[in-house]
Amino acid sequence: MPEVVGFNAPYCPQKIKQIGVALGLVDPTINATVDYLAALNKKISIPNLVELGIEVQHFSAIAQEALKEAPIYTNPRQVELKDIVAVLEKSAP
Amino acid sequence: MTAATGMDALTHTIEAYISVLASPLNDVNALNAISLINNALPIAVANPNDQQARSDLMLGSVLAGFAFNCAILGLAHAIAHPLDAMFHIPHGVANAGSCGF
Repeated sequence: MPEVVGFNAPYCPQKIKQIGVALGLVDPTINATVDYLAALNKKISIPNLVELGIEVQHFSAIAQEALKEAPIYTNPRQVELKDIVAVLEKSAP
Repeated sequence: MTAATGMDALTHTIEAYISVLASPLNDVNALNAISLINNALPIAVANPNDQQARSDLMLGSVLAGFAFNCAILGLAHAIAHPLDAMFHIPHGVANAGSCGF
């Protein structure tokens, strides 16, 4: 979710900053908000994709299925297959 | 379980807030939910018996539900659904970690 927020941020920058305010950030920039959400995941021990057994070879199939999901249509930024694969690739260390 | 469901709720409220269907009425609930969940979730994960934290998480989750019931969701949930179905990852974990760190 943090990297999805980062992906969407250019299309809703003021809202991302308001999210940062709601999260209690003193300087609620987009980057600070994304970093905070990533840190929250770590703080409460949410595993990342690699730890969950997701591999690069799976990304295309995941992205193809994701494009069929209804929430895609209410995302603030239009999404193409390559966008989803790129976002997933950011997770691979 | 607490961490996963809490992050599902947080994802609900963030996605509802930035949704193309967002509206001022839903935004009020969404922002309130973000604050409640953010403050309560680490406490509830660390201290599962903290009743106030649990109560705040429930309220935040309900408000997030109000928000996304009208504004729907976004890319995080779109990615999480195939992660759930294809790899049997718990929904809240798939939402929170859907794009890693």
